[in-house]
Amino acid sequence: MTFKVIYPEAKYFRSIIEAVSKVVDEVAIRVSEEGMSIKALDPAKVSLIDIALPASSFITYEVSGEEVIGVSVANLVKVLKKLKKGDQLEISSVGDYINVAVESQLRRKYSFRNIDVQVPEIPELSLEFDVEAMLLAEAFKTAVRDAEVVGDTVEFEASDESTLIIRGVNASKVETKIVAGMPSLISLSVNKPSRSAYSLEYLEKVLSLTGVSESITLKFSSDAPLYLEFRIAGEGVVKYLLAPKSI
Amino acid sequence: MYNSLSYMYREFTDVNEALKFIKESIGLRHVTIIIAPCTVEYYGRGSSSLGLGERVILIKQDGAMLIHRPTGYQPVNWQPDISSIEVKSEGGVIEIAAVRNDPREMLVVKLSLPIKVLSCKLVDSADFTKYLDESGVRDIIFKHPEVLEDGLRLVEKEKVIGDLSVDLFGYDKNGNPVLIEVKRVRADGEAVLQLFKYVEEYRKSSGIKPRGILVAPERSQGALELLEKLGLEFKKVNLRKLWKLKAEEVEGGSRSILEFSRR
Repeated sequence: MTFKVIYPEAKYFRSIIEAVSKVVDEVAIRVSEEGMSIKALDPAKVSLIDIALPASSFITYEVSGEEVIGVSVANLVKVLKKLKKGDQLEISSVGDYINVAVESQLRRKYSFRNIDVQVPEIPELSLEFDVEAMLLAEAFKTAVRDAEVVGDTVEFEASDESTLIIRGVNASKVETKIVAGMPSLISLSVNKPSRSAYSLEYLEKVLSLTGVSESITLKFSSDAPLYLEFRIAGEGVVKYLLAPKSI
Repeated sequence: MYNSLSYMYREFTDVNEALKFIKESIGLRHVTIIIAPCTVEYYGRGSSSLGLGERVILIKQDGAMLIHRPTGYQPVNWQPDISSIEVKSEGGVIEIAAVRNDPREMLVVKLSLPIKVLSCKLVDSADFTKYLDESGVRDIIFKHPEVLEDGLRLVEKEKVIGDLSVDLFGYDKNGNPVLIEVKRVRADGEAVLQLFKYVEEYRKSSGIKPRGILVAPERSQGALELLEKLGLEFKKVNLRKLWKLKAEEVEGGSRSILEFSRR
């Protein structure tokens, strides 16, 4: 089976694949008539990344039926690193090979072997979140980068309807307080005051996505996973779930 | 708790008897150690072939399988987690095939006579303790300065003094600056001289003579004399106690996301 798709902004695609490359080495990409999707669980099973790019987010989308392609993400990242803003990315599969072509002033084409990667069996997660916030991606990134200054753990806390705290904790502490009314906080709803801690090393894996998503949705509960949702160019969605640190 | 190491050891010159014993041992999920001449074939992400030779084949209670040659610490072939293991005899040769599904990998060992097998069920529920490295010791002291002395306030790790950087820097209860050099093994004269360099560098740049403390589980005689001569101090730390402090910290590792799956 063959397919051919063209994604309009290669840079966005690069940020997505960069995030995936930090989670797994090899990944199965499912290409169906509805769109392209990736689900990957890191080897330690701490985090889960779930990406959906609908067919409508591509300029060309020639797919019939469904195909799963396996790629070495490390290889793909190396190729995508050379992309520039505005480049178009064409992905096609022919026989055992996956071709990635970058269209700018030149047309560069890379071929990878389609490797046999198992689609991970990911059980359905039962998640209810007491806190749900929407904030500017840039503000989120700044807060996480600040937390990194002091250590390897980040705490999210919402004690009331108006305050979200992102805190780096170790021997020292650094705190970013985002309060209702600030331009960086778009919405905040708190069912129950909650506080939970996560590994910064894992959170860092998806921070590159803050560059391609204006705002992010963040959900958590006490001692429960953190849910992050990035909207890429309005149509694509990247969801990231991160297990809490044990307390 | 321990079943006083009940084990069975057998030597075989008959293939069928050996086959029966090995099958049973693996079936009971015992640790099975086989010593025999064998060949090993591996197919999967790569492939390898190992000709006939005398080796140790170790099959653990969880199905992990390792094949060791007579030398070297690493197994020559292994299968970390096995989806299925099949033992059969074919043409007078015992064949053990360990298959892993994801990624698809297969390890096939063919045993020749004579075969020696040890089968046992082991119990081991102890915690594995990883000992602290130097930066680990430093970090714990930074968080718990009271293990060195009361009223000590530590303010900086790896403080840069001129071209050097000292493990810990802070002030004692009288406000005197304190420089601390940490060793996780016996401190010798060289460690003392290192600390002295920091103290001198600090004195030169600030004009104040700081206290210099060498922290280690023990010190050599040479270090003791040198410390006195140079006006430096020594604080003995108990690594086991430090480790306990670390273990008491709430910060644990990350949990698995699968713990949150719907049951």
